[in-house]
Amino acid sequence: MLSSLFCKGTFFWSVVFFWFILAQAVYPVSAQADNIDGYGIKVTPIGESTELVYEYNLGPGESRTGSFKITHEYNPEDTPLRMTIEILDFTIDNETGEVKLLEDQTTFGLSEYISIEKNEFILERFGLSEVVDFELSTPDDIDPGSYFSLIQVRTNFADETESGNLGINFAVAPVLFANIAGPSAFSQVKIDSFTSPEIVWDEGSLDFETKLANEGNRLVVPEGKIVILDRNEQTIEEIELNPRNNRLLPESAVFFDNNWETDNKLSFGSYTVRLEVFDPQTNEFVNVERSFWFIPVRQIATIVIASIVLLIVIGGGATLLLEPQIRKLIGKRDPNVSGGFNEL
Amino acid sequence: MRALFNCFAILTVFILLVFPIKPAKAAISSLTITGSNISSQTVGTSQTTTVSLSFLSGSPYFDEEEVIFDFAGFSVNSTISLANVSLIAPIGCTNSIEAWPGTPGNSTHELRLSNNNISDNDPVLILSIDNGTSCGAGTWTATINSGLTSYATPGNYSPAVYTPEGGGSTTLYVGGANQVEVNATVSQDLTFSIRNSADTSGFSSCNLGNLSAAGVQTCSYRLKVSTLQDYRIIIDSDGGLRKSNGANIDYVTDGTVSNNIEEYGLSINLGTLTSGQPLNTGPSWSTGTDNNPLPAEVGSEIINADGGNSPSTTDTNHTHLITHKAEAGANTEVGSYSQNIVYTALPDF
Repeated sequence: MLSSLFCKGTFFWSVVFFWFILAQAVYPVSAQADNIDGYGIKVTPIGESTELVYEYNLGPGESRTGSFKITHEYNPEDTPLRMTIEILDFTIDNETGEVKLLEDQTTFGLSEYISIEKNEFILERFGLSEVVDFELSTPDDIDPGSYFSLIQVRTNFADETESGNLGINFAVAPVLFANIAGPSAFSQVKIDSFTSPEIVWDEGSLDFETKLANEGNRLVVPEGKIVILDRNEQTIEEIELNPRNNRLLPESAVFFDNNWETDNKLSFGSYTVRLEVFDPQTNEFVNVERSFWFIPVRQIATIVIASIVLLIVIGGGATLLLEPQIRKLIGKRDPNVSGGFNEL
Repeated sequence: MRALFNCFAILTVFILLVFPIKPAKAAISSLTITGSNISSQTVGTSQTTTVSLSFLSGSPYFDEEEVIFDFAGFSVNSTISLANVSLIAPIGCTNSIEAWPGTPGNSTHELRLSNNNISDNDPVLILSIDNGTSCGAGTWTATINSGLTSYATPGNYSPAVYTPEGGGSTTLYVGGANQVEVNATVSQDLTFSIRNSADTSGFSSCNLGNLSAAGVQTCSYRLKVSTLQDYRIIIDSDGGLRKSNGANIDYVTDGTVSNNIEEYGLSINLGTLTSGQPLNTGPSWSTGTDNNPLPAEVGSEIINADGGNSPSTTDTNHTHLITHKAEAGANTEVGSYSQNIVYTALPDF
């Protein structure tokens, strides 16, 4: 009875349509929910910059401004994020090249010259964002050279002090560099170390590690190349040392790891590897040379085995060809031999 | 029987000497055309140029075999002679060339030129190998240093190479006939989060449980970065794993947090980058099963990525698993131990 009422009549479809319209009105489909990236806080450069590394060239007493945007893309998406901003100086460990955050002002710290309008804001839910404006102002008596800091924007989930838990927060941090012009600003690049393979046994990838030091007070983007030369000083390959244009900070060191695929460009023998790095202070390239031997063991083994096989074949052939003559010679020289070869 | 074998051996040697076995021919690859004024060509303008045709041979070429370089897409504005041509042969093979027919067997390749006079189009170099026995596989490059202009007529041309192991051609776009200049800017965003170990939700508190319970206590979470550029992650803490009175759980010193010994550390299991570029822990940290002591109050670089990463919404391959491990010993003070940690992701510079 009921089934015939609901299925055959228009009443059933009218009810379905009514509830569908009502559901759309009360629970609209959210385009945002369909496109959730689903994690994290996002930092985006805005204004003139397209990078999160801001580098300014300015003189003492000058100022610059910049902006970036912080967006809530955290999941669960209705989690309010209280964000705080701190400007931190950092250094580069001269032995390892790693970045280390410091709470104390450093020689090249920029933090005291950076100001932001507010140090805290809340992103209530997914998709909301906040623009962070900063101003860099240098004093008139600032020494020429490069200065740097990062602007750390971090979450502030529960402080777990005394709770028995580990409180885990995370942050994103655009990086700021300021190059203060002046006669005493200089960059001096030196090669601290350069390692390359000493023996290469087979075709493949060769790894090179370079450590450069800047003994000046101004950052520099190191320029240089690694040149592979054969025994006739002919260039086999040139490898760009710093293809990512990484910076070498003042009074710091940086490591470069380069590799090269041999791609059948080597043959047995010795080769020279020359590291050429441009030093802005002297306006000249400084060089360091290393050498390596290419000994393609697999190819050599193949040739040796083939040679042995060839020798065996040739030996067999020679025996067959010469055996009758040898036997004849021996037979002629031996007066005691009276008959055929079988008697030898 | 023995005589039959010897006869067979002699015959084999004879055949090998008379008809030496040449390695099977592979195929050429990496055919490229490079030169000045050929990529920035404007419509209706021909420009003088220096052009190189280069390819990688897959097998040796033997004496008297020919390699043909067809410089299609170029006009000759002054007669091209041997002096205008240079050759770079694979390592171990001479680069010297002489005019064909030259002197066979003098380890100098013979070169013929065609379409090489003024007003000719598409000059061709025909190289006859002369290197004693053969030239090994490797990169061949022929360059015409002067006498050429690029075509003024817009179009697509096909510079080509023909070799004993087959031929190949590449495409040279001239005059912007089918080029559209597209300008766009991609800003270098960076997204960072701490996620649970399954990467299904955000994560902000790590409970190591009761350190006095049997076994080493652990908790895990993931560091998740999405960016197009190289990045670094720095770890910082507000002190050790400690009580309010300052008593610390000792840092692990031997790489392993062991049962019934007061120790605390963390292990790092790196994912991979979707860009396929290298990814490393910071110099002060080790990866894998090693337990690292967590330095108090020192912002230290824990991860260094040499490329971008675009993980999926749930992705345990392109995220980094961090596991804290702690254990109490006989002399560990009773009470609650806590620590606050901040991870900071920044673009590499």
